[in-house]
Amino acid sequence: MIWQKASFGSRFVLGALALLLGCGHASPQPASPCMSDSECRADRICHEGRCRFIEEVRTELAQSNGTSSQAVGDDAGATGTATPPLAHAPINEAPMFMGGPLHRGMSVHLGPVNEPTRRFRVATGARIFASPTVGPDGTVYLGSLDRTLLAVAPDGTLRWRYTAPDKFRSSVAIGSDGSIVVGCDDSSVIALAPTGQLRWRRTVGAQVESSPTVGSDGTIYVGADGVYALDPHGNVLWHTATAGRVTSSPAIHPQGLILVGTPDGKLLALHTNGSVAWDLAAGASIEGSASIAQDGTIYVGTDRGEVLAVAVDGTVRWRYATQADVRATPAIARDGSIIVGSYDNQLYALNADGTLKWRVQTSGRIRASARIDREGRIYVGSQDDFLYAIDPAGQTLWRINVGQDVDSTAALAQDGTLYVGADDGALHAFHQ
Amino acid sequence: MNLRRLFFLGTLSLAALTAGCSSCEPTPVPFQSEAGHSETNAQQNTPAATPSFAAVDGNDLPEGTQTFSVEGSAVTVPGRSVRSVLPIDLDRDGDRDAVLVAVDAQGAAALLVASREGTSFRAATQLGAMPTTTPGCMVNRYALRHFSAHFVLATLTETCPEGTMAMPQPYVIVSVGGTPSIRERFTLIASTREGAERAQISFRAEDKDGDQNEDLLVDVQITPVDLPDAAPLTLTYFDRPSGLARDTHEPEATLLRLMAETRARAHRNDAAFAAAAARRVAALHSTICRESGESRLRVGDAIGLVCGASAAAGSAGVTLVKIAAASNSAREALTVAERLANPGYTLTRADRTALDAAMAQLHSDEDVRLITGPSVSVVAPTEARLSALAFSADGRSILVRGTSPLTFDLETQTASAADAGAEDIRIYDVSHTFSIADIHRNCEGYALGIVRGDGLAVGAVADALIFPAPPPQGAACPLSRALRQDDGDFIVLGWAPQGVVVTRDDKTYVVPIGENGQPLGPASQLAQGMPAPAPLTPGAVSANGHAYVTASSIGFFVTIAAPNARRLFLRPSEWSSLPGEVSAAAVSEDAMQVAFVKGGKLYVFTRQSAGETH
Repeated sequence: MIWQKASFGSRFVLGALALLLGCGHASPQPASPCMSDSECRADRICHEGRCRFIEEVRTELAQSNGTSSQAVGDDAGATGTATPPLAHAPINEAPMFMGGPLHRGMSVHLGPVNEPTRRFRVATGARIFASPTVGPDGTVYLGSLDRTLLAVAPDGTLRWRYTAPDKFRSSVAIGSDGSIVVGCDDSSVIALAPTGQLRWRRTVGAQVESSPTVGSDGTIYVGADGVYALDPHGNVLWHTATAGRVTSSPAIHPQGLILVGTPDGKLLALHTNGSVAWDLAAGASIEGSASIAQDGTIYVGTDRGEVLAVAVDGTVRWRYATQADVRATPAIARDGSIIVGSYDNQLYALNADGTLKWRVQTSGRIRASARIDREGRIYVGSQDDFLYAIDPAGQTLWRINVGQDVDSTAALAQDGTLYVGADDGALHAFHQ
Repeated sequence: MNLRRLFFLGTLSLAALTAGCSSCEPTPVPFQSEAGHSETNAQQNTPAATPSFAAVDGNDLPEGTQTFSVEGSAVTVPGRSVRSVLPIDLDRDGDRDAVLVAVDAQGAAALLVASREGTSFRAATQLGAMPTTTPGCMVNRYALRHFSAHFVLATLTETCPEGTMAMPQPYVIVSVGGTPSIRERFTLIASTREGAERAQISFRAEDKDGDQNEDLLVDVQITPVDLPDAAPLTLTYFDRPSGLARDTHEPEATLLRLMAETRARAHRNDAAFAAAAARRVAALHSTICRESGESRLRVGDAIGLVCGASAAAGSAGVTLVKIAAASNSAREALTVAERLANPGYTLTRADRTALDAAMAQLHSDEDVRLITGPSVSVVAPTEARLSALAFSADGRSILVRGTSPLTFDLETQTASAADAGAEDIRIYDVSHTFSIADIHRNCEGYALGIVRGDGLAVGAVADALIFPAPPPQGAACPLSRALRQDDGDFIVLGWAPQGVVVTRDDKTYVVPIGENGQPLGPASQLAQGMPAPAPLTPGAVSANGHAYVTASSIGFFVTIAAPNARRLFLRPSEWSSLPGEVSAAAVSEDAMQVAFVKGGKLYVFTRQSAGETH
């Protein structure tokens, strides 16, 4: 390893260089240099003694080798020239909405290839809008509009139920300390222990429909009357107000930006201290969340039916128009395709250059976001009551009638079980 | 003083008003409601004033006023801000003196009188304190009203910021015939009971005992009033040299008259009148009388009037039980029936017979099939311990907790010794680190006592508030041991991971407790139909939080959560033949079975309707 072979002076230079290259990121530094990936959180690797996002490292290496890179800000997207994305983008899944702070929706697990059977169904008293989150031990966490948050074991038995003064629309994120963190319509963010005991409850200024996103340093970002950053103990680090209530879940860009859509039609980029880096007038309300591709491009849908591709500096690379509102969060496949549903009843796959790859017609509006398994199979629900499985080429593999509208984004477990909530108020588990 | 002189003086008072009393126009005596001193009410409800006397309002003065004039003569109250002045001939010498409200530098308001001698005034003397302002609120005005020849009413109205509730403010009665003095303070507070009727009080004067002195009449009205032409109930306070003396014939005389009318109408099959009259009698009694336990009238520092045992309220209660029983509203019938056991109510033999018949009329909401189990020995139930009974998860057996725990198999109907650990009926948190010691009352309200583990370690961990309530009137804080034992009729159902689940009167509360045994915010009430947090140790509540059972002297109330939320009154047809009292109850996970111990014997009944799906 470079670090071990260098002299003290060289180590100092290397360390300083590494520090400079790492400037601008929110990544916290371990107290001592790391020695292996296992010492780093979430999807980071140990590189030159520091825990780093793999994408950053590849970018730096590519630059230092003088090869063309996928660095954000190049002109490829802007001129419309097709730039092939890096093949086989790594999958780093974390237990939160859309599988991690980048909101790509990719799972490390395999989903059902053929039409699955229902493994179990756990009923609640009202519709389910939130998405299930699968914890490290396979427990599924899901909130309902009946004001309960359930923890369900892989066999369908109830581990615990938390009852709240108001509805849950927010999806659970599991914090750096294992806390189950979720927003509630009673204008609070709560954190529960895996046992279901309450750890803390933070009141904010409006209903919390937004799903929390947990950063690599444990900071919790969530939308309400603006964007909040909370520490793992629920203390408010900062709050940036917005016009109107934010329902979008914050995404965290590797370049240290917190991205969120607002109901007044802005894509807002904040520094990790809460100050505004830029805001982009998207043209219509943004209800879904932004997602971030491997090349750093930001994708988001609007109520004008558009999918926008935005560079990290806030410039629009392209817009793709569907025929109705796009309220889902665009998922991003390993080949860089953007998968997103529209209220025009269609599921779209777009190339990174904004051209249409394929689309699949359903019989209902698509509000749910797509999840993509390890082999690129896409799972998405529709308001036609069906849960669809589609292959990377756009062929429908199967669809299963859940019973009522499926607005909840599915989640995949390690054993291949597919979990989803529905308007029948139930958590459904499907397994092949 | 004869009526002619009263009339002359009253007229003179009006005629002699000068520029210092620009707004003094005759106005009717106001109704004063429990929600504050509503001027709107004053315009809407105008009982007849003493025929020869026209009420006079005092003048509001701007803050900071220390000198004002009455009939051209200056009155100075140094060191105070005079806020209201009522020119009034206190000594009957033909010229006007003044009753006034002034506020000192510390913000304390007082009632004062200033007497005129010739063309000048003597220094004002204080009669007593005015009511204090609610913390955080601002005074709108101090009002003085000369509503009869003999009496002046002093009141305070205030404006409070959003989220702050104004304290109920007393109405101060000042007598102005002879030596002026504060005679009494009457306060009407809002009921804490959901759906309670609103009450109003108002004041007038009339010589009721023929001693040529005006007596004070306090009219109590209940709204909404379903009865046409319903007059207020009048309390008479005779004006005696020693003070105001209440005519103790009321309120019972009026209540008995109302119930007599009710019986007469009932005989004529006027059920609607009977029901409305019974509700009105019950509401008047509960508002006025200390014996109701929920009196809203304060006279001085006393809570409620001592009315004695009321036959009228007893009769009204029986009527209400009969009405509830006729519609099979078991909970309502039971609530009223239990209240009638209070010594403040007198029931005739006929009332008792009617009450028993009404309670017997209640029928189970569903057919149930009863099986009889073995004799069992269980500890007496307490509000903060597990039920002595618990269904197994599959509903096929019942655990009997206690010193000799056993398991009763419902299929074979045989009993066997239970596993170890079933002796412990304490309620623990999920980590088994903390347990509930008791429910008690403190100066904040009703609270759970949280202790460590099995409670053997010294010292409490926390008091977790279930329901806020002020300390009993006159009680010093901390409360005495006797007062602390008041559990407010709350019952602990269990301790779920997020906190303790408590029930009272068909309402369920969750008291959030953190991992460290400390309360994490205020208790919240579960919306009707919501399942309780789970899992819970099974017993009176199912482990999945979907159902719980409460036992009563007349049967069982089973509350079932959504998706088929409902509350059932269940009891086996054999109920009256089962001896003894109920000492434990449990409900199965699917809410289809209830187990109970009555008279030392175990029983189980099964609902005969379709099962629950959770």
